[in-house]
Amino acid sequence: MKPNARLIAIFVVILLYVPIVLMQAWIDPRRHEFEPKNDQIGTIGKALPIEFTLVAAAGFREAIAGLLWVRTDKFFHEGNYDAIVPMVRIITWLDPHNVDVYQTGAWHLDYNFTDNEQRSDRRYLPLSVALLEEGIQANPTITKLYADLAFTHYFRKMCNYERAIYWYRKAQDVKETDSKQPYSTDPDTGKRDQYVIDPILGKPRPLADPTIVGHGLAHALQANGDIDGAIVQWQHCIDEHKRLIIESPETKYQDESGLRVAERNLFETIERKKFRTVDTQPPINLDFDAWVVRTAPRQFRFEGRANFIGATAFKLEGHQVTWGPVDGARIAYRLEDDGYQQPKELPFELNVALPKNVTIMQDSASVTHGKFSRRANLDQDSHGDNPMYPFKAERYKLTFWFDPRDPASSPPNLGDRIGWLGEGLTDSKYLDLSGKVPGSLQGPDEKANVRLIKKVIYLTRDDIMGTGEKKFE
Amino acid sequence: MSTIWTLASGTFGEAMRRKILNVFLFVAIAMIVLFFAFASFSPTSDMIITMATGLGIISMAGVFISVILGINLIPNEIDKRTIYTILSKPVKRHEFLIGKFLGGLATVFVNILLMGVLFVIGVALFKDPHHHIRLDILEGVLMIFFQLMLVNALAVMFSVFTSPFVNFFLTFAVYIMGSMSSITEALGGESANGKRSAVIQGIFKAIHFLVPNFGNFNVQNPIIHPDVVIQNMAKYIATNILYAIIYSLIMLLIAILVFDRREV
Repeated sequence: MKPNARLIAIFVVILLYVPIVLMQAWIDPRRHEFEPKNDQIGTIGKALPIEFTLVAAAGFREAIAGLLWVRTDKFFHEGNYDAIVPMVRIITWLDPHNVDVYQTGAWHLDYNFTDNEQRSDRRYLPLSVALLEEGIQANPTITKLYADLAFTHYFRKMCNYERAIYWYRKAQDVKETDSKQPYSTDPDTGKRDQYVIDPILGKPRPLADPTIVGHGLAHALQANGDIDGAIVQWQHCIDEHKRLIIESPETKYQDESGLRVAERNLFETIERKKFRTVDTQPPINLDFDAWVVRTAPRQFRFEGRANFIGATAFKLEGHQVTWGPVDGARIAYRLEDDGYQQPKELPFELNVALPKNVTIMQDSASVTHGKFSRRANLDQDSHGDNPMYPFKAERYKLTFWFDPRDPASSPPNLGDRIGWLGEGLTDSKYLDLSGKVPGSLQGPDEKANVRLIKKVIYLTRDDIMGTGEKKFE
Repeated sequence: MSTIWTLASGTFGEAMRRKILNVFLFVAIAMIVLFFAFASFSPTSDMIITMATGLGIISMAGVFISVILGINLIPNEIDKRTIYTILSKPVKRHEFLIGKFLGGLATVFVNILLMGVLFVIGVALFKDPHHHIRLDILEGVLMIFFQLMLVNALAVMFSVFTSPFVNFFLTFAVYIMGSMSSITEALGGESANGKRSAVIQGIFKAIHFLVPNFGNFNVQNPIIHPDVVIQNMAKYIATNILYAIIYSLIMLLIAILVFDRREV
């Protein structure tokens, strides 16, 4: 090679490094769309044995995550719950697109860490919400994650229907063009990226399932008192089911079933809207009261009375219907450290920073013949290294409440007497218009338009730990 | 050009006769085991682990083929003294080097393609409930190929001035370092507690930008989770292919510069 050619070659080598550096700078942020983020790398390295880290780095990251997930499932079936949270954390770091892990992990956090009497540990709720929100951020087109956050968490666990509606609407906003699979795959050719334009809508089809997301949104709107909105949503679901029955014969039976449910719910909602404006007035006085009896140290009987009298006769589906004396309401109660503010969100880290010294117990009791009573033995979960009820605080707040919007507390027959938002109930002592539901992850300015019944009792640590039977009210 | 083509086809033919296909056979057996081994998991986990492990095996097998092939391409010719015969003909040194590199690359390509096709057929037969042919798997195989192109170029570059033994460890060391793109990138940035010194950050930043980033080519995640959308996937793949080509060119230019002055 001539000296000149040699010099040019050296110059070209140096010059070629410029596009390499530029390309790498462009690639780096995009690579994190399917890789752990920078601030997670170090923690993964510390959490996983070195051989796992090396194998993961050598291209087996998803395989390692998948195998860890299989192991996590074994932990669950063995009852080794403590091991599950860090495993979920590592797996979702290694493979942020394993949707199953977000869904099942959040379900574990919500429901499966329980005391001996099957009450779930409410301290995990903010973590569970954080996990699902992270899942949505990493997988913005997977509508079932939105639906889980909306229904399982905000609707069922926290009765925060505003937030449930918010997430359902976000799910409905996800459109076909945002995604590649599964609806955009042509079943005949197997071609991807061929976005289907809806022949009726004339625009990309929404990805949200009309049953999981559509029905859920209608229920949430109804629970939030937006009955007109719920009627529009039920009609939307009916249209969607009808369209899918024609267009997707492979899921025809599923949509036919969904259609029947939506049509029935639409009819009932329209009917109830008519008669609930009449039958719920004048409001009934619940003459509510509640108290707690300590039967032994950390053992209680939660008791009270609530005079729920439902509408005994009304027209439904064109027929005269007569209900018996209405029971079936549930009174919720929550015992927690006085002054405890449930954080709206906890960072979902490897070593979960659970408030370990905090005591939160939440349950509900059914009302039968105007009375409710339920025992709770918290003593059996108050000992050991990490007890669910440590009782470390000096003062405790016990709240009893009734939420007329909650389908689990207020069945439809009861709702027919007391209304959508409690407009047909009152109480001389305990009517609460603050809109704050205990234990709900509400923002500082969020307030529901609802007539709650609420009573608060304060207990000292001595009241809880004392011996002998004693009533507190 | 015809000289390079002749050398490349000769190298390809010779490499294929070196029972390199035995690796392919091994991988084929490993995959067949793989298809049945995870059947007891849930269908979702089963598919995820099969896809991830399958593509990982193809990648690892490909790396071994590339390294073993790449480190011996030039030294073999020198040891067997065939290089004298070749260079005594009107063959330039850079033509010889490029021809050997392309021959090796063609061997890698054939092996990777065979493994990829076998994997696609296996997934359709044993794993996909509707027996769909998942052609998107080949997208991952394509990226593995370009990753191996870079490995091959690296091994050829080292082979002009090191022994095969040293080259083996050297190439693997760079491969491992380059596979940890995320780690070098993280160490090149500020630490959470702000305690990492600017010098350390600078060193890792330099490593991150100058060492070939093999981690860039790992695009199996969207193939494993097809319902997840990665923005600008086509652009990402195209940029990485360009990255592999330019980086390989750099490696070959360095190899040519060194080989040009080497006594053989």
